Amino acid sequence: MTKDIASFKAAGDKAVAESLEKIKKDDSGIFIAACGDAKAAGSGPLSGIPIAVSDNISTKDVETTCGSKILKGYVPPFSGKAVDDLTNAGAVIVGKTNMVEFGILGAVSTKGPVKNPLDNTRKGGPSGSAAAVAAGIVPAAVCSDVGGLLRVSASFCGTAAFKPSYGAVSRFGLIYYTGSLDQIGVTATTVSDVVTVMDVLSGNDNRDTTSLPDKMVYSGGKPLSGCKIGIPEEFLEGVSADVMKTFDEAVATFEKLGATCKKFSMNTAKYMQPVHDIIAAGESSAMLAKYDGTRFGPRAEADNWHEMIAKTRALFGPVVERRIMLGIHLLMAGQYNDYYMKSMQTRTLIIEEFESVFKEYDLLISPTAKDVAPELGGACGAGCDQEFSSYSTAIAGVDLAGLPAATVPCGFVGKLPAGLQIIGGYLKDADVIAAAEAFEKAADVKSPEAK
Amino acid sequence: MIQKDETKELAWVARIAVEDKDIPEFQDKINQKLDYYTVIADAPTDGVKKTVNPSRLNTVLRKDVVVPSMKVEDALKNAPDVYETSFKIPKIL
Repeated sequence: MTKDIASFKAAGDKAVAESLEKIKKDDSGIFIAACGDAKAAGSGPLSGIPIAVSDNISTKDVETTCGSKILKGYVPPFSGKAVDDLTNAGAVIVGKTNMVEFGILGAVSTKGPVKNPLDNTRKGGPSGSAAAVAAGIVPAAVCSDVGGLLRVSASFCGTAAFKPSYGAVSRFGLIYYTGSLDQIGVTATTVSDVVTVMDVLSGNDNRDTTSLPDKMVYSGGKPLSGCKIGIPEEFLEGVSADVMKTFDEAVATFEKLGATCKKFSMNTAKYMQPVHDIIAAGESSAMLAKYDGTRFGPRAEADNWHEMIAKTRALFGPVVERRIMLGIHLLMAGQYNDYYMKSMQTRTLIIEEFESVFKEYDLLISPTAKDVAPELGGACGAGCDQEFSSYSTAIAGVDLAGLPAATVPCGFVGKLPAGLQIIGGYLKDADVIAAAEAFEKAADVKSPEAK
Repeated sequence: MIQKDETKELAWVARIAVEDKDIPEFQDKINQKLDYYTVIADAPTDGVKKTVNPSRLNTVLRKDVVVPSMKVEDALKNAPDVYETSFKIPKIL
């Protein structure tokens, strides 16, 4: 069902109109809204190509809700840098993809869950970005990634995706909930298409204080022949037998390509998920404080200001409410040193261990998620505070250290894909891309129906 | 672990109107998280510097030059209530 950028280019003027038609008919919860029109296409490397962006990336004059009732009706007066970059490259933003509320894994979107285009009884992931590509509606989607919002969705839907090193893509106009973890990435049919869009997005922006000074270069990465690949054993814990089989086959493919793969243990792995969770909770309590009905979004009726804020903030879903309350608790004087400060120090240990590991290995690999796409409903159907821990320790580690990571399909369990995560050292984005492209070509993973 | 009255207090500090009937569930789920976090207690962090974000950049201050910013009418466009060039809110006291 997927179609690459070249196929959309070949469709010419009809490409955008056809995408918009499909988005308007979407009944799988992939999109929150359609936007744009074919006349908006400009010239550039993405001329006339329909692209989707997640609903937490600001789009001027188009409602942007982050999947939350608390931003219902909010129409940004400006666009995010990513949106401006895409339109300046000739692309047309055709839709806002669905996402769990504010990107908090386990929370519920106002639009409900994303159905997986490969099996509509299964989830398409915490965002609709990969499902939009897998359903052939757009050739690429731009989505923020924290906790796997992008990568896990790509793993569930069988698309390629990439989250760059921290700072490679400006987050100006991204409504993030945890600033030290969130990055903007891309999902597409192929790694090559991911790079085409990443090239457009990368570059310095003085409106984002974490923006890297130089544009990231994604070509010229280290070839796999002679490459040393490490496999942290802790990244394999809890992985289902079926997904493990696809991962073992991926390891064999890397070795055929001339790489050496070796398992080893990371001392700090056991801290990665709880530290990620604590930092995300603390930051979210601060970053979501601005939603109080004063400057934007709906406002609850009340006699005084405090009551107005409390009633307005009850528009958050319960998972988000608990996340904010937990974050405030962790930041209080009595708990701060034991939880938040301890997590920031442990984060340093995690980064230092990754730096040490990358002196020995060129890349690390892991399954992107512990299992294939879960059933709709299921344990986290109505919201779930623990959903993040069901995904992957490796996802948390990558976020904490600001590392570049790609996910590519590495096999199928029945008709559901499994993803392989390829992780590089900080600023070694080109090495990750080179490995992902070489693996994608050699493995040539196809769904059972396509064979 | 937090108690029921602390959970209610936390909801007030967060300025989130949580109904009394939901407090036990909130207390239980927040405590599950706190219990899960105990694993970090043995991390050897004595004398370790904190990491605020993973950027390896040194902070460089830019020149203090005035640049155009958002127009007042754009900033007010999404506000539920405005008075002239300000956001209007109900009484505070």
